[in-house]
Amino acid sequence: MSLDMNASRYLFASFTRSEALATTEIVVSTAAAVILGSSLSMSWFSLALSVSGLFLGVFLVVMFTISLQVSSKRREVAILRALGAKRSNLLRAFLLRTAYLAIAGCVLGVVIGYCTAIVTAECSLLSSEIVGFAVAVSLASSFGGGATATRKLSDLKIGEILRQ
Amino acid sequence: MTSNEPILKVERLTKIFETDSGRISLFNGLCAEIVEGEFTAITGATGVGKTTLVNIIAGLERPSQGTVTVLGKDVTAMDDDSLTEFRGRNMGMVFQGSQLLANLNVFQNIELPLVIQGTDESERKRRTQEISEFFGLTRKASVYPVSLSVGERRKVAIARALVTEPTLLLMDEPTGGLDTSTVNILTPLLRGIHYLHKGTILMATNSFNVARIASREIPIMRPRLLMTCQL
Repeated sequence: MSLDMNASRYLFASFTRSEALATTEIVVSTAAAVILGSSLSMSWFSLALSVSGLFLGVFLVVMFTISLQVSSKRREVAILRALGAKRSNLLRAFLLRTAYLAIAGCVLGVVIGYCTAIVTAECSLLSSEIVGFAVAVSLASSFGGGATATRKLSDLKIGEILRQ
Repeated sequence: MTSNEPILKVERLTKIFETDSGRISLFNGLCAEIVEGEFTAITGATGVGKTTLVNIIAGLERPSQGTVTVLGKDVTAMDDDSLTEFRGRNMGMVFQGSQLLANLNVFQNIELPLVIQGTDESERKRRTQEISEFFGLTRKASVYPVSLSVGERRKVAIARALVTEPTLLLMDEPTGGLDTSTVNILTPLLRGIHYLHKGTILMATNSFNVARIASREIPIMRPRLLMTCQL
C-alpha cells in the first residue's frame, strides 16, 4: 500500500458529518444537472445559470469540508511531516479523500438523476452526453474545492503545532 | 564520518520571537558542537527555548540568525522537501507529550516512520517487533494510545523514534509531565537506549536528575547563554 493510501488511512478514521454534507451536495447537484439538462422546458440560458449555481455550491461545500479537515487534522499532519512525510504525500491523501466523496456523490447523483429523468415525461432529452457533462462538471467542482482547501497545508507551522 | 567530526554543529544561533510585550531573543548567538556517539542534555528552566532549539535542529522551525549543520548539511538552508526527507532518514524525534496518532495501535505507531520511508513490509515488521520487545511493548501491540498510561505512551514515542536507527536522536522532555515512579522507570531506560542505539543523542530536559544520565550538559539561560563556544 502506498504512503498516500496509508496517510489517508492515518488521517481519516471515520466518515464525518461535514463529509456527509459534502457528499449530499454532490449527489443533489449531479442529479439536478442530469434532470435539468434533459428537460425540454429549459432554455440554454436558464440551464447554464442553474448548473453554474449548483456546482458553485459543490465547490464551496467541498472546499469548506476539506478546509475543516485540514484544520482538525493539523496535529496528525504535523506528526507525519515531522516523521518524514512530504507535503505532496499529505496533499494527495486529502485529494484522495476528496475523490472518494466526489465519486460516491457522482455515482449516486447520476443514478437518482437518471431514474428521475426516465420517469418524467418532460425529460426526453436525456442522453449519455448530458450525464457525462453532469459528471465532468461535478468532479471538476469537487476537485477544485478540495485543491483550494489543501493550500492551507503549506501554511502549517509544524514546530508550533507539536509544542501545543 | 570519523568519530572526531561533529555530527551536529550549531553556529551563532539566535531566534527572535515577536510577542505582544516586545521581541524576545533566544540563544543570543549560541555555538555548540556534538560529536558522534555523544549523549548530550540541553538543560534550563521552562521557557528558555529548549524545545525551540530541538525544533530548529530538526528543521521544524527556522532560526532568525545562525546555522545548524547536521551530518555536514546545513539544515537551515535546505528546502522543505529535502529537509523532510533528510529528517526522516537521519533523525529520530521524541516530541514533548509523545504525539502518537490516536487511530493507530502501538505497533502501527512504532512502524509509522518505516512506512513513510518505504521500507519493505517484512523488514518493517521485523524491526518494529524487535524494538517493541526491547521496550516491553509486545503485549500492548494492538492497544490504542488512549488506553495506555502516560509512561507507556512515552515508551512508544521513544520506540518510534528509534525504529529507523537514526544517526541523531532528538528527545524533547522525555520525562516531562511524568510522576516520580514513572521517571524512575524511564531514566534507566534512557541510559539503556544510549547503549542500544550507539548513536548520538540530544535530550532537552528541565530535570537535572535526568540530565545526569547524559555524558555532557549544555545549560541554556535567558537572556544570555551560559556555555563556552567550542568552535
